[in-house]
Amino acid sequence: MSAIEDREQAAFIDLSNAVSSADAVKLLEEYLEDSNLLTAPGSLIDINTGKLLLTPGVLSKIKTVSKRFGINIETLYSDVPQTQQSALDEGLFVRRFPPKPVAFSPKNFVAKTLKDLDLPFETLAEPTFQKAEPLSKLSVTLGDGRLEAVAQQPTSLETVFYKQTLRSGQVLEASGNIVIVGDAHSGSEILADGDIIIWGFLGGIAHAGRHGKVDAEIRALRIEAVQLRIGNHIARRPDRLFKNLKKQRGPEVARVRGGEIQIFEDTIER
Amino acid sequence: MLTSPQNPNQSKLIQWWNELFQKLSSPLAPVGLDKNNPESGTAKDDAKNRLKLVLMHDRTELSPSLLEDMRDELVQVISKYVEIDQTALDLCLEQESNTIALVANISVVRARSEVL
Amino acid sequence: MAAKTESRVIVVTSGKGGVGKTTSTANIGAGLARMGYKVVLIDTDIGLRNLDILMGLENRIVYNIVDVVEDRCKLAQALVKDKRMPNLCLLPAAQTRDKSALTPEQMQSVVTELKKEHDFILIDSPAGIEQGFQNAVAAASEAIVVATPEMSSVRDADRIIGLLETKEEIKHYKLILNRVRPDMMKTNDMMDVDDVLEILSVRLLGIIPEDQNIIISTNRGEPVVLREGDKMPKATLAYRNIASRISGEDIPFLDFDTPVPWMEKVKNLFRFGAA
Repeated sequence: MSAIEDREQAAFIDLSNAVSSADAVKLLEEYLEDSNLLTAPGSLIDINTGKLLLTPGVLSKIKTVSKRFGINIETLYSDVPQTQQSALDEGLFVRRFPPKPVAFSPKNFVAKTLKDLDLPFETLAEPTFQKAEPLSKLSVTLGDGRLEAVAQQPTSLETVFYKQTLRSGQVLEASGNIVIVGDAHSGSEILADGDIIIWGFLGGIAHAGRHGKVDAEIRALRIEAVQLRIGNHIARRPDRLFKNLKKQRGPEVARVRGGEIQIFEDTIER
Repeated sequence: MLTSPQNPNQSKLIQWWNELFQKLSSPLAPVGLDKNNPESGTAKDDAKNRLKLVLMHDRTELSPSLLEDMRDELVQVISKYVEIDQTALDLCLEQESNTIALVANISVVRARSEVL
Repeated sequence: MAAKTESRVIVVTSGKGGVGKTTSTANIGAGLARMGYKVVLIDTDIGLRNLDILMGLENRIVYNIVDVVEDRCKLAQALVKDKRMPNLCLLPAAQTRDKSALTPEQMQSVVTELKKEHDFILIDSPAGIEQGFQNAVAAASEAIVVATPEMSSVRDADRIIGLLETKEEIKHYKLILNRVRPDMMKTNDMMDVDDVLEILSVRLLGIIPEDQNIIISTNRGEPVVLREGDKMPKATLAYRNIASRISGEDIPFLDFDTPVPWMEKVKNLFRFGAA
C-alpha cells in the first residue's frame, strides 16, 4: 500500500471546539470509545486542535490515550505556534490548516436493527406488512461473500421522479421507487415501497421497502442520513461524525446485509 | 406628535406620550449624552418607560387615538343628558399596582331639563 | 417502594421566539434528571422541532407525538431515551406535520399517561399564542415564562402571563430571565432584573447569564447543565440552581457581579462567624 493510500485511509478527528486542553483529551477519548472503526491496531488518525494551546505534557497524554486504543497519530493540525512546536517535539507531522472535510466514513455508520435500539419497530410494523411480491432471484455470489444475493426488481413498481431540493419538513412518499435529482436535507423524509435513489446528498430520513421489502436499496452520491430504514431494519447516524480525509468519494448504497443495514461504496460489480 | 386642537385639555396619556416623543427626538438623548437635560434618561430608563407605555396599551388594548375617539363620543352621550364643561373633560388610564383603570373627570354645569 | 408523589407538569413558554425556551427546557429537564428524578420532555413545536437537537437525540427518533395520538404507535415506543441518563426521555414533535395535527385534548391524554411513570413532565411550547401554545399549556399545571431583558421579549412575556392567568389549570407561574448581561446592567444600558420583575409583577425562578458555553453545548447536543469540572460555566450553575428550586430547595439567586460563587460567600460568612 503506498503512502498516499495510507493518507487517504487516515481518519480525521476534530477537537477544535474543545473548551480546554483537558476537554480535548476527554473528547478524543469519547471519540475513540464511540468508534468501532479505528480499533484496528496500527490505524492512523489525524487530529485538528484549532486554536487550542497544548503543552508537551497534554500532547503526550493525547498520544498515550490513542496508544491505548491501538491508534497512532500521524498529523496534528493546529493554529497555535506553541502547540505546533509541542507536536513537532513529539515527532508528529504538523500542519496549520485542516483539509476541508468531505464526509464521514461509511463504515462508521451505527447500524443496528430496531431491537438493539430498544424500539420494537419490527414487531409493531408487522401487522401492516404487505407480503413482498415473490422476487425472481438473480443469484450472484461473489467470492468474498459480500454480496449474498442480488434480487431483481419486480417490474410492477413504478418510479417517481422528483427534481428539486427536499427541505426540512417535506415528505416524499411513493408506492414505488423514488428518484430525486437534488439534495434531501436533514429533517426531510423519503418513504418508498421500493428503492430510493438520490442524485445528490442524503441528510434526512430515507425509508426504502417500507412494506417489508428488505432487499430494497438506498443510493445517494453521499449518505449522511439521520436515519436509514430498509424494510423493518433501521440504522441511525453515529452521534459524532468522523470526517474522512479522502478527497473524492463515490456514490454510496445502503443495503441490508447480515441482518443489518450497511453502507457500501456503490461500485459497479454486477 | 399627537395634538387635538379642539380639545386643549389633553389626556394625561397623550401628554406623557408627547413628553416621551420629545425626549426621544432630542438629538443627544439616544446616546445618553444629553446630561444637561434632566429628562434625558439612560438606555435602561428609556426601555423601561417605553415598555410601561406599550404595556399599558397592550393590557387595555386602547391606543391614544382610540382613547381620543372614545372621549369625543363620551362627550356627545353625556351632553345629551347633562350640560358639561367640554374643555374640562379629562379621560385617562391609571395604573394601580396590577390593575388599570379608565378614569373620566367631568365637570357638570347643569342638568338638561328637556330630556327629563 | 414509597408511593410515587404527584407528578408535576410544567410548561415552558415565552411568546417571543428565540429567547431560550427550548434551551431552558432541555437544561431544566437534564438538571432534574441529574438529581435523580424521572423526567420526560415533550416538544410541542410541531413542524419546527428543535428539542431533539439540543439533547443530541435527533438521530434516534423513530416515532413522535403525532404518531402516538394518531395511533400509529404506543406511547412507550415514541419516547426517546436520553443517551446519558436512563431516567430522562424525550417525546419528540413531528417535523413533517403542522400545529393542527395535535389538539389540547390529545395533549391532555398523553400527559395523563406519562404522569404514571414520571416525576416531572416538561412541555416545550412553540413561539406565538396560537394553537401550538394552546396545546402546550392544555395539560400543564405550572408554567415557566422565559424572557430576556429586552423590550420586545418583556412585552410578549406580559401577553403570555395575561393568557396564563386566564387558564384555571395553571396554578402558578414564574419567570426565568435569560441572557442577562451584568456588564450592561451596571452601566444602565439595559433593564436590570428588578426592572423586569417590577414591570411584569412576577416571581423569579432564575437568572441565566449570557454565556457562550450555551452555544457550544447546543453544537454538541449536550445540555450545558451537565458540564462537570472545576471551571463550570456560569450557565451550568444557574440551570442547576433552577432545577433545585423547582424541586423545592431554597437557593439564593446568583450574583454575577462577583467572581465568587454564592457557595463560597456562605462559607466565608461562616469563617467570619467562627473567628
